[in-house]
Amino acid sequence: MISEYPSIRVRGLSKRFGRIEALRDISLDVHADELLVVLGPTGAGKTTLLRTIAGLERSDAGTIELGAEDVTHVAPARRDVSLVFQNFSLYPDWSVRRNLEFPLRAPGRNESKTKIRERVESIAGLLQISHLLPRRSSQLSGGEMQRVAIGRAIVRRPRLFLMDEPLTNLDAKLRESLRVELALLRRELKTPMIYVTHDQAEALSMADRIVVLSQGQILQSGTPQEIYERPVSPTVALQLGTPAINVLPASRRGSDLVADDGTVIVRDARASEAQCEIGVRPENIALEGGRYPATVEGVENIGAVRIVLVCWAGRDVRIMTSSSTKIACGDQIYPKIDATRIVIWKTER
Amino acid sequence: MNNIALDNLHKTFPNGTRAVRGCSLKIEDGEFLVLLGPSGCGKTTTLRMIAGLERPTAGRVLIGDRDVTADRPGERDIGFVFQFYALYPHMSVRDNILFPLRAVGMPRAERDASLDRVSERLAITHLLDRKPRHLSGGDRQRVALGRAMIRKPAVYLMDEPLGTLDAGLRLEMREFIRGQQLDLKITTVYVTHDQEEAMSMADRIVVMDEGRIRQIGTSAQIYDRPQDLFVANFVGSPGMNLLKGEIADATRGEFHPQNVATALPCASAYPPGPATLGIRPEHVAINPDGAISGTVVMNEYMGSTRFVHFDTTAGRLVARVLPDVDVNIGDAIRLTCDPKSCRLFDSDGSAMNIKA
Repeated sequence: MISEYPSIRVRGLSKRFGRIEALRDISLDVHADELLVVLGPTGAGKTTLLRTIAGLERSDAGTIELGAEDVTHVAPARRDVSLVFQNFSLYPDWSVRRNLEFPLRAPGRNESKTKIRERVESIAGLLQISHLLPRRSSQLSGGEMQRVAIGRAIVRRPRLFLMDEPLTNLDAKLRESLRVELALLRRELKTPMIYVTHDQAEALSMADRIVVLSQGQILQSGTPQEIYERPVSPTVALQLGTPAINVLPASRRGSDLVADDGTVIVRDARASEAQCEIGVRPENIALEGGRYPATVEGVENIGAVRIVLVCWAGRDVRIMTSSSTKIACGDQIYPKIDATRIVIWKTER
Repeated sequence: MNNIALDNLHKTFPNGTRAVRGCSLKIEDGEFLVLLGPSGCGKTTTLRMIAGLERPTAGRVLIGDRDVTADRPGERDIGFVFQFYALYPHMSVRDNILFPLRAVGMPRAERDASLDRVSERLAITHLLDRKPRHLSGGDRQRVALGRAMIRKPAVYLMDEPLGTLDAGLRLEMREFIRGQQLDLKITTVYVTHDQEEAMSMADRIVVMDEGRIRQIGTSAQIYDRPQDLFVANFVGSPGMNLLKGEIADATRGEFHPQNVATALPCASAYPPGPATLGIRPEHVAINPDGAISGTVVMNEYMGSTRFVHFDTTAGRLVARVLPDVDVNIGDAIRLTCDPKSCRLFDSDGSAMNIKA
């Protein structure tokens, strides 16, 4: 359940670096036990947004509220947020235990030794790094280091976690298992989190809600399913899904939407635009059942699925099918689009 | 013929690390071979020995049936593509891309034809007269890749060239690399830790771990018929589910998972003893009559699919289901495994091959 009152409210946040508008009028809410993923390509403004919320950058306009408190002009250390970076920032000569204790020994916290030890040991247990506590952090593997870095961020129970691509520098396999662990962990901690990534798999799998950011602006926000199934533009649609969504330009002929080469892509479409683009996910095209033929130009086996590449409606079209489907290059197929699962966008002029 | 052969290669570093421990492999002329494994598995060291950047402690490297083990990198006619590229800032895109061809003195007509082909495939034809500083980050990467792949060496060696790129650009670059490689028919060895990248690009994949080759095969062979527990778990996203248990009776072909009351049928009979059952997430199904009971602990929506993670008495299991299947965390659910798709591993972790 997501509580009614947001614990983070950002309103009209803007930030410039010289001539570059890094953030333009960003407004977002994060609820008390929500994981919000900010998804976007390099240079979208994701890191600037996190750093501004953390107080490491000063915004040019807008407000940031944590709980009921306006923290827009509050110093970073007093905002009570934890930030985890892409690069594992640990003290290399210190033991894991000392690294984890460090945030609890900050001036002004006055925690008792017993309490610090209890807290460190419980977090180490949660992250399955208890056996590493006596080790020097320079002796750890990448995955272990990032686990400790996450531990250091959560040990002092902040009001908000900010994660800046924490898994990007890890092996694909490790990233996949830490992604699951991190989501499970966050649920136990019941602390809101803003998680920045350019990895669509991480975004879909971890997020309660996703904010899609591009050139400093929010293009869409919603649940993973809303954004995957009903993206507001081709730009958003292309951010999610592998292989990427097929985008087919079409024009209206009667009630049909037709490609330049005459292929009828959709019959009886409700869309009213004369010129449009149709978005079709690769999993929503069947290999048979349509009326217009295509020749298979490529087949890729990716584990449970097989990706079939055809030229159809004058475009390269990718179709996802099960790995048990028998198909080879040169085969002729009749692609059929599931018309209930398409997205139609008006062509931008 | 630019085939490559590795003959029992070993590499031990001065600090005692045994990075590669007996690696033998034949790579066909024109083949795209991927070395896949986690960090520290020895894949990069193997690649660097083919390049001549590391000298093997023992063993031989042959390129085109010629022993090149003692040759310097410059004598091997190799195009090495690293992860990080820098462009010459004072040169136009055109001159940057042409640089490697000018360096070898290629005739002008041939040079221009190569440039046209590369820039068209990368969709950067309109950028040829610009300077790098006027390009977006993505376009700079495209240009760098074009420059790295314009020359036609005997062999391409690539060390995670796409590692740091954004997902969208990475997909596009994969297609470029594969297209260019198929066009020029250049034998290629490509190193990655990303199994999806490996499966989508490779003619054959070599899975490595701890300096050793674990399995060689096409992506379908590696995925469907992993030879050991390491490959079973490493390949696939998420990897194979692995249930510990026992084969109690040789004739009945039943597997008893640990802490589960009911036995699972196997497709054929196996010798009795402790074993591990491997099953892909797509072959685990939610079924009210299933033998295994579990509680949903995580529910990952992935767009075209959904991964449901269960805690069961036999351990953690993941099922791949349709994206609109409605499950919630905490739900108690029963599961079945498709016996035809199970794979059994003996107590040493090697696959038990009855019908190979």
